[in-house]
Amino acid sequence: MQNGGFQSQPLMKLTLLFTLLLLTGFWATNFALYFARMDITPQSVEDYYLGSEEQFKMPRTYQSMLEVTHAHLPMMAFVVLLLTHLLIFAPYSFKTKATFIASGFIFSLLNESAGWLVRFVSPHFAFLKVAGFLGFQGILGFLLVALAMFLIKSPRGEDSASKNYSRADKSGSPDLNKRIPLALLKPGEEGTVVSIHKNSSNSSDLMEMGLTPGTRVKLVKFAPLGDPMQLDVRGYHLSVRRSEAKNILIKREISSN
Amino acid sequence: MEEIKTKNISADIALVGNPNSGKTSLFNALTGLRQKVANYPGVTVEKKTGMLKGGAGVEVKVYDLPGLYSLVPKSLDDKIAADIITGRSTEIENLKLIVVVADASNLSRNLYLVTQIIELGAPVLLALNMMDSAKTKGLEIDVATLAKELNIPVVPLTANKRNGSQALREKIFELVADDRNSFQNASLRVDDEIRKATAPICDWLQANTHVTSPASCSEALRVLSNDKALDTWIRNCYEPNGKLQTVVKQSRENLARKNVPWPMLETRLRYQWIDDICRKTVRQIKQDRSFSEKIDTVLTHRLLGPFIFLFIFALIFQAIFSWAAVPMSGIETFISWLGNKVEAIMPDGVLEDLLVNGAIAGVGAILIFLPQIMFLFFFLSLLENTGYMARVAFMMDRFMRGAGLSGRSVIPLLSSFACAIPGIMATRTIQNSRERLITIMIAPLMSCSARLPVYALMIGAFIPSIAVLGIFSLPGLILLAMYLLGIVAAIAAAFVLKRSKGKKQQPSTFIMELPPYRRPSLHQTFLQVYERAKIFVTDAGKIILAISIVLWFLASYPKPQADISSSEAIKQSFAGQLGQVIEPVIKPLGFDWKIGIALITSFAAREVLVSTLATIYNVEGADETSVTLREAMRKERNPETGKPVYTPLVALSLMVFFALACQCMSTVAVVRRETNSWRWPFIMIAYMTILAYLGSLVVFQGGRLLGFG
Repeated sequence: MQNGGFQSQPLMKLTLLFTLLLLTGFWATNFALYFARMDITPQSVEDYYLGSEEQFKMPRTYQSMLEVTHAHLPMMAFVVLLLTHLLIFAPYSFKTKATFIASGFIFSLLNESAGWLVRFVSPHFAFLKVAGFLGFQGILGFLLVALAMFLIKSPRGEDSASKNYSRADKSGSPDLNKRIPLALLKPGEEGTVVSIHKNSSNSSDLMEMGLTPGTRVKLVKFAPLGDPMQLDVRGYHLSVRRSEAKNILIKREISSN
Repeated sequence: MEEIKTKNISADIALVGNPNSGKTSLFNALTGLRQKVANYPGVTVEKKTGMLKGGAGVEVKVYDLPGLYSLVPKSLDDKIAADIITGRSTEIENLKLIVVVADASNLSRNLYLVTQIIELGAPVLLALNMMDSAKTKGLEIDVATLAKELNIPVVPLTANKRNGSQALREKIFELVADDRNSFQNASLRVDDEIRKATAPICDWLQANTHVTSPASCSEALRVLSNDKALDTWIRNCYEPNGKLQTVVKQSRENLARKNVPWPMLETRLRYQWIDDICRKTVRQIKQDRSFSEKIDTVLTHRLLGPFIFLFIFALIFQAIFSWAAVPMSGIETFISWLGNKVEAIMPDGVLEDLLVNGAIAGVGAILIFLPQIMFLFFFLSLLENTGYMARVAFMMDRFMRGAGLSGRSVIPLLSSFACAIPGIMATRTIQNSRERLITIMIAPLMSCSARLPVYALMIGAFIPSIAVLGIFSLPGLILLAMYLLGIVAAIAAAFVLKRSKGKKQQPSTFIMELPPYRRPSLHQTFLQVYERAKIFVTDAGKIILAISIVLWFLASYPKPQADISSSEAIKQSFAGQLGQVIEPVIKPLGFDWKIGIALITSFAAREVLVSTLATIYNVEGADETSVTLREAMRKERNPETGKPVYTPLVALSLMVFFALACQCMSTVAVVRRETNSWRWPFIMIAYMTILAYLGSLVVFQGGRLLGFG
């Protein structure tokens, strides 16, 4: 699993945390700024760009829109770049990442261009401005939360033992006879219980729940914060913390499906 | 509570099984609505009993024991069930039959408890439940062979579809009528070494307890191989001098000398036996990724999972706040109508006053919470029955661990935002007693809906409506700050409680089954809602009634002279005198004696503050949105300095006090019931009052130093 190393680097973590905090502020003030000018009805967007006699508003000038767009484009580029490139290192599926990266840039572009469309092409594009803005804020919020979750997630799975293990994995021929702690399986992988540390206080509970030597066990997934894990044992699903699972030694098996 | 008629009972039977094996729906199918919920003596574990439907002339009483995975108990609930089954307790006198419920779609692990129980030698009937789930999972179970292997009768059924429960009832009546004394249940085969090692323990159990063979020999193996099982017997102290320990130690050493590893010997042998049984009886005819796993890919998805969780709970809270408001105002109207009626009918006097302002007002204070409790439990049990609750605990476990809690505390704490009472009642699902206690102790810090009227009054009267950042407003932000304050205080309190209770306690674990998603049964959900509501009204209600009468007495005595105003009357009452006595104490918080009275009376329930202030300021029929009450408070001047009594700072200080203080006798009553002692409710009142006092002090004095107020 690619992790860019930033979970194991405390300074990096701190830097990112504060960056995320500032960006959260940006996100909130972006809302404030938007609602100071217009709201989520297309009419209010039209009023803002094309002026409104009732509210004594002038239409926006070409000059002022150019200035705003000129300043916005590089800033949006940096914000979206920063967030989406961090996402690349987060442990989400390729499809998820691709979706969020693409929609981040698309909504940001839409948000910028919609104003021009309303002002100089047709007021009917007002809904695009609303959709673009809400979509952009939505994606931004999503990215912020996802990255924050990734940051506070427990990085314990990436300890020294797992490095050995992933090296074996990269060579393409994982050592099937080696005993490894259950916590080092990847989601979807299976193994057979070899032994359970008898001096851990939970070992008896784990065994009574069916994790006896010789039992086939599949790691279904980890919880969203990386711990606990969901196991498939004897045809039912069991949740176990990493700290409890490290007492269970298993032998990897080739998955049956 | 109506007592089920105890005449003509010919037999008692116990219903046992793993959690999530559909035991509750089977119990409902067997007994219908002829159920009774009580507590086991001295503990807060629920004792559910019911009469078996049908059966001419034979009355069979069914005991629904708490669900457990093994006869080695892990929680209080487990222990009650295990004690009854193994004979450590004689709670059920005339136990004729044990009906073990097993989930057919998860046979292997369910057989663990089943085989432990049949070895005890008592008459056992296996109810093989959820045959439909097994079928959809692609499992084919040979019921006849299973019955032969275990040598007990087996009835296949699907209880939540009422499929096969008639056959089970008939079988129960048949077995209860059977007067045989010997049963040839199957049992674990062990080799001679092990039999020799367990023999002394077996003898000891037979000599010193009322456990007889063959149960004693089965229990002996368990005691030999598991320290937790040994501890259970030692704590039951049939022989407090530790003789059992000596016998067990001897046997373990003997086995170790012969190179037989004794730890968890029983579990390993038993699963070997079970694997053997399953090979003979279960056939996997097709296999694909289960329906549940597919749902899980969305509901516990890394990104979507937490969002869906927040969305569902936002909806539930919205529902509780808006839907419950209708029946709540209905109840309020009814109570005041009733009070007026009684006032009109009865002659003026002490008795009338006690009845109207003490008893009826007190009962009203209880009933007003009922709609919220019922709505919350409706949604909670719905989510519980689908299997989603286990996923919430799974997702939030990592987050809660920081405060020394586990995922199981999430639901009770979230529920407490609506009302701490159902929240505290929902802590029963927490196995670890320390975690449960911490959760109970911090639950009232979550800002419940009863604090809203107080916040609304104070914010409406004293916080100017200034826009912040365009879309927010100062009143809204202050309200949010109050909620956050509660959460932060709860986290801090959990930290302190975690430390203060020592490290010797059992460590927190999260070994929890994630049951497959199932369609919830509405019938069962309504039954659970009804049970919770009944417990709340009958048990907590008694205590609330008593406290309301005391508060009524304080507020209406000594009797005022005939011609003084009601605000003067309350000043002269005991409560008013008390308010003046505590004035020096609350003065540093910015409160005068009038607020002091309100603090005392609002111990009944937080929102009473509003009506008390209304009485003091002589405002008729005021509520938190009342403009006249706000005006009266704004105009109030200090008689010595001529400055206003209420400033935004005083209002803030009062809100902080209410956010942190345990001003709710219903909560105290429920904590008393759930912890079964007065110790924890008193500690709760003490620590929350101190916290509230300090919080208010910091706000008021700090604010004054900074030049506000």
